[in-house]
Amino acid sequence: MQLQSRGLTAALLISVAGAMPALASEELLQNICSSCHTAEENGLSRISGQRKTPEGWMMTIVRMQQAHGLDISAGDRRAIVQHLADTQGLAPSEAAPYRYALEKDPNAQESFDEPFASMCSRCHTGARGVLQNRTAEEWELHMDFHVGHFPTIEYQALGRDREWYKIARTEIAGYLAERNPLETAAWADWQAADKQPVAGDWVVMTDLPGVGEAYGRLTVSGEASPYQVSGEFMMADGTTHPASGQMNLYTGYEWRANLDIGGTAYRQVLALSEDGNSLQGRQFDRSNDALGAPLSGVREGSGSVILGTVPSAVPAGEAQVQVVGTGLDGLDASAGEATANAFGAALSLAAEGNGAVTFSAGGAQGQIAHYTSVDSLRVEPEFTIARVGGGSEEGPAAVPAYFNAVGMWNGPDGEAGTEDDVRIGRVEAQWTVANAHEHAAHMKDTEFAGEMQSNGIFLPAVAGPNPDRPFSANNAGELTVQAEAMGQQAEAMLIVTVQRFIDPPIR
Amino acid sequence: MKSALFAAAAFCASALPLAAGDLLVTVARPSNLYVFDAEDRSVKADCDLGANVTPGVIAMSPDNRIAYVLLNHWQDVVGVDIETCEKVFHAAQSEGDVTRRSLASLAVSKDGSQIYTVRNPVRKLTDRYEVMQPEFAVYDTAAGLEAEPAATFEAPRRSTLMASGRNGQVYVAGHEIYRVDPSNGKTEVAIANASWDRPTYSPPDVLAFWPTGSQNDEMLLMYTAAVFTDEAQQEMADFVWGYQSVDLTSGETEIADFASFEVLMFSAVRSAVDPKHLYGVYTQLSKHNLETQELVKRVDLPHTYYVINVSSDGKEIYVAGTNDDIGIYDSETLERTGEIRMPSGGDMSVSTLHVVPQG
Amino acid sequence: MKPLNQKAERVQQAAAEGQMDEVRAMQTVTAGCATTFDPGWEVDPFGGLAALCQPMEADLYGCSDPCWWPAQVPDIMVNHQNWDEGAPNAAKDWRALGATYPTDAET
Repeated sequence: MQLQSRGLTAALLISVAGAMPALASEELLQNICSSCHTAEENGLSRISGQRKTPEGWMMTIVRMQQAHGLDISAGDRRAIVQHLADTQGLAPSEAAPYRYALEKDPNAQESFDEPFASMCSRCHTGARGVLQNRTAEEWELHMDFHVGHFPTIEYQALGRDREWYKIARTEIAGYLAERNPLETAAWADWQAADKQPVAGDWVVMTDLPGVGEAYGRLTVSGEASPYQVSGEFMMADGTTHPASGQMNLYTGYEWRANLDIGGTAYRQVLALSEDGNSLQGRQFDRSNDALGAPLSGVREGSGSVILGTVPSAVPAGEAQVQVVGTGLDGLDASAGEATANAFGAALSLAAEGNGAVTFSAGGAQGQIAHYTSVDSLRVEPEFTIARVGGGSEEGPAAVPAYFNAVGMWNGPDGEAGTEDDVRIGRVEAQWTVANAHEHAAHMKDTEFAGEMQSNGIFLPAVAGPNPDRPFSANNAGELTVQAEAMGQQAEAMLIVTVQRFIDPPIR
Repeated sequence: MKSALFAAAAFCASALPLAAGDLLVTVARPSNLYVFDAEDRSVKADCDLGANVTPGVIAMSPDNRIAYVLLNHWQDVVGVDIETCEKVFHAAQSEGDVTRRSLASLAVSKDGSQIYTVRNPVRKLTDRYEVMQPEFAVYDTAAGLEAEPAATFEAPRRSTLMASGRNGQVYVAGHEIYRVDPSNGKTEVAIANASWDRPTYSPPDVLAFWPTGSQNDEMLLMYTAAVFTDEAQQEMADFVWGYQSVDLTSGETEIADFASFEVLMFSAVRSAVDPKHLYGVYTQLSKHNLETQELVKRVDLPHTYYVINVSSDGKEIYVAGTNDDIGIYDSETLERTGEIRMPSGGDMSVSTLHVVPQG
Repeated sequence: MKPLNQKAERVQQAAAEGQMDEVRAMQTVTAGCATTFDPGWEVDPFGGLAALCQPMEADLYGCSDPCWWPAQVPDIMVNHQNWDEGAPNAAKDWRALGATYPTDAET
């Protein structure tokens, strides 16, 4: 009887992405999951009390496979993830603060309040915890799951110094039930909201690590996941990289694409804006997610929008600049000649000295700096980690680190490193690494930990014990990354550490 | 009853002259319980424990003939005769949908008649886990190969190492060091840890997975703690190592700081013939004087080791766990004087290294 | 606490000034790294590498057997019981120890 009534409700729904009628997906969910999850008033036990991201649902199903003997095909798994993310996902505003985790941003740092920080994010990102919404009962069961599934959770550092289970049940479960309840206005509103179809033409801007700053156009076609995506990325020097692949859209806004761009497999983890006219997220090398960069995009025909310029800054003199955006016919620039094109507008500049050229069109504004000197440099990121890897067919590959040098002017106060510093943009730099401190020098970390390439990418050394080091230590190391450009220097800190053997989509 | 217990204990002690050389008992992958002759570094016994030897926490019977090993992912207690490799005891603690793991909580009574564990039950239903109350379990060593507990009592959560005293009490490391009466489960605080009355100290942090001290008839644990300049705990004065010990002969306890926190140590031991010195191990081997609180000596090891023990005569230090080698060090010079490789080539991981005096 | 490196000095300084939040912030490293400092997986309590087990492979089964760092290291206790199959010696057999998240489980 319950099954029937739920079936009737499901029959009236069409999933948000329109991938598959919800009824078929609901039947699949029943067929696959109901041998362990029992039918209750609101749906299957446990499942019906939770909402999460597509990645969150995928990780749950993978856990059911790895630890509980679930047998499921890759196709059915994806269909269930699609169905659950569409019907029990997160609203855009709920996921927004924690997108760094979905984007696998290697440089993100978190800051959560106690006791959540020590109780939860000592093992995994805090984001992994709060990119979920659950009923109060579900949050309580989630605590018991942790003890059952990770039996030493009460015994590890920051677990044994407190009554972990008691705090989990009495404080954390309640805190999360209040903070991340199953039912929220944001989710109700998003479910009710009209959603613009994702198909159409998009102008995008990003950076292909090791290749350079890039802009491009992507055309999305189709009516349901997987959508077809095709287009091209252009470099500042005019080189073109054709792009093609597929994209799945979850929850009406979560864009997950695998694209071949000029022969390299890339992945896009993006969010469509609520009005469906812009894109924001991160694009990364699919086999090596540390190598990536932010990506922004705008729908063609959605008015006048400027995403930025490629290159982001130019040495003074003659320069060709692409103003990336849409609706930039008649771009009005403070200097140079602008010509609208398929990616926004091309701008021919002949600028002298240090300064900026500003431009606008239809209410959209932007600028680009031109320079003959920089007052200081900044290395981005200032701190990150890399990991040794490879050396075997089974083990995790090395995880590199990607640095950029950014030129800065001092600003009105004439001092470097203050709030009024003016960011010029990316500049070409010479890269070196040094031992970070005495212990690193003693261990000769620079000789063992890996190699800094001229393109700002640090490639860590091979995994495994190294008999040539004291203690047969791994090729780990603590390094200072040093950039030099235009007479200025800057540093960042890099820790080259050991492999991560479990690397799920949300760490 | 009590006098009988003491009599048994006295008999065991007198039956084991200390000078006759030692055996070393440990567990290594893939499935081996090893008994080595410490003197000539030879293999005396190699017992196949079957699969899943982790964690390899070992408690020796008082007559040192039976090694009780916690294995099968912390669930089962298996007793093995170390001369014949005969399996004489097996308690499979999990049953049905209830998994019961003992997180290094294993001890044998001083009269050899009982085995104690703390078991942490979790019920696994088809779609959820249900965390249950931990229990102190008492087994008769004569219960054979399908042993069930003779008694169970409620126990505090997060218990680790255990040791039994000649007073019949069982000491359990947890948020506090507890003293449990195995006849009725009555549990008291023997050494205060979480509740210690040290106003200028942070609570202690105790990593307790390696049962050491048996050759000194003590239960020895280390702690670290932050020490502040005053009770407001605003300004940190030091970060210290301390030790806490239960004298298993007398039941007396002691707790004291002995050094500033300079290097990590995972386990420590001291010798019955020279109890003022404490040896600690991790990536370094350190020798501390507990009376003067001085670091006597510290040497780098070839790699990290977890567990440490000392020969009956106090002359040799053994470091083990982690990889497949037991490192042997001179207790005076801390020079590496030898090593024993696991014949299987397998890692010892977190398993125990016991020193067993030969009778 | 004798500082093991420069970061330790900063941690000590912050701790001495009662700025425990700052200490925690410094220990966060990058999102997803463990801050379970026993003595740590990616970094040690001082934010460096010096106090970690050396080499990592000496410690590897000491992590996976008791389910320490289960978000980084496959645990043999519950979730990945066969992870160590055919690799009884982590320092020698480390090449057989693989990553466990399935590569085809992509959204």
